[in-house]
Amino acid sequence: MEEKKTVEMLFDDLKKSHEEEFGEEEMEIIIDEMILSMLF
Amino acid sequence: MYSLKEELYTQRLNRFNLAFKRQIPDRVPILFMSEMWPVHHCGLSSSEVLKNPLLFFDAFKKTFSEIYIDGLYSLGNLWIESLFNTLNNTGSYVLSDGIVNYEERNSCYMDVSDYYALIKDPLKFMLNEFFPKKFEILSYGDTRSAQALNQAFQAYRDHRQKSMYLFEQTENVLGIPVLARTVASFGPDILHEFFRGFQGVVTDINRCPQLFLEASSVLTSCITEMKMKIYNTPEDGHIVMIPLHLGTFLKPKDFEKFYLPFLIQVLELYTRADYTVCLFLENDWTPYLEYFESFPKGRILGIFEYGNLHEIKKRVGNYLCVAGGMPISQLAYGTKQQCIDTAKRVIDECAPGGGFIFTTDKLMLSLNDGRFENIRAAHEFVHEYGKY
Repeated sequence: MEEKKTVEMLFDDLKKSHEEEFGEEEMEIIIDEMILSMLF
Repeated sequence: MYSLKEELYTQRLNRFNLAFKRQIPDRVPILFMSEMWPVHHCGLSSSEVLKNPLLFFDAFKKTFSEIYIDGLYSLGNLWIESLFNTLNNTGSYVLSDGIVNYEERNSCYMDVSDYYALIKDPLKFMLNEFFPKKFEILSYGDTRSAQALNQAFQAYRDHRQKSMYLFEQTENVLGIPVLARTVASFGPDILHEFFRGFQGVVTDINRCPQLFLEASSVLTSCITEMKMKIYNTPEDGHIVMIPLHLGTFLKPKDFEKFYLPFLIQVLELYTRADYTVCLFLENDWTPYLEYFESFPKGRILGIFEYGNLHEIKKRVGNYLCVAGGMPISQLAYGTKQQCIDTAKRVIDECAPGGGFIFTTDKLMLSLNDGRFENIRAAHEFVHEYGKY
C-alpha cells in the first residue's frame, strides 16, 4: 500500500530530486517561486 | 569597454532611482506599463507569446525602437499557463485575446474554519490544505500527484529560464530597465484574491474580525519573507511591485482597521531591508491620502490610477515618488495634439521638485488601449520637454 503524501512531502521529494542540478539554496528559491505562482 | 547600450541602461536606471528618492534626475523618467500592447502592435499572437515568453523580446525590440521609453514596469507575463495546465486547473485567471482576467469565483477554496490552520502556519496551510483543494490531482498523495507536480516543476523551470533570459536580453541588449523584480502582495489582498474572495473577506471582517486580522498579519510576514528570499538584491535599483486592491472598497473605518495596518507592515518590512517598493494604487485613493503620512521613510513609489495628480503630488509628494498622469482613454481616443497638451500640463504641474515619473494611469493591456501615434507623440514630447 502506497503511503499517502502531503503536498509538503511531495515538494520535499521534488526538492531532493533536483538539488544536485541547482544546488540546495537555488532549489529552495525556485520552489518558493513556484509555490507563490501556484496561488494565482 | 562600456557599450552605448550599457551607458543608456545605466542612465535610465539612475533616472528612475533619483526619482524614487524624491530627488531631481536629469529629466522626467518615462515608464511604460503594458501587458500585451507591444505584442499586438507587432502583429504577434498573444497565445503563442504566453507559451513562449522569449517572443516578447521581438515585440519589445520593434516597439521601443519606435517609441521612446526609459523603462518597463514589468515583462507582462505574470501568468504561467503551462504550470496550471499540468495541474489541471486554470488558476484564478482566464484568457481572452491574450489578456489575463481575474476570475473571482475561483478564489474561494478556503472556508472560515480554515483560518486556524492558516494562522498556525501559513506555508503549511497553503501546501497541505489549500493546494489539494485547488489542484485535485495533488490531493491523491500518490504517484499521480508526484508525477503532476514534477511536470508542473518542469513547466515552471522552463518558464523561469525563458523569463530570466528575456529579462537579461531586454536590459542588456535593448538597454531598457525592467523595473519590477517581483510582484508581491500582503495579508488582506492575499485573503481577498487567493483564499476567500471579495464576499468572503467582507463577511469575515464583520463576523470573525479577529481571525481576519491575525491571518492578515501572519500572511504579510510569511509572504514578504519568501519574496525577500527570492529577490535578495534590493541594492540593484529595481523594485518590488505591490498592486493594492481591497483597500478602497472598504468603508473608511474598516480601511483603518483591516487594511492600513498591514499596508504599513509590508512597507516597513521592505523599506527597513532597503527595498524600493512600488505601490500600484488601483481605484481612487484621493480620500485616503491623509493616511500616507504614516508610511515609513524609504523609497516608495505610488502609481495613481485616478484622482488629480497635481493635488496628489502636493499632498503626498513628501512621502513617496508619484507616478502617472497620462490617461489611456486619451491615448486611445484623443488626438495627437490633445495627448501632447495633457503631457505638457502633467509635466508643468508634477515635475517641479523631482520625485515624479511620467506613465499611464492604467496598464495597456490590448491594442485598443492606446494609439501608436499618440503614445509616440506624448513620449517624444516628454523626453524633450521633461528635461530639468
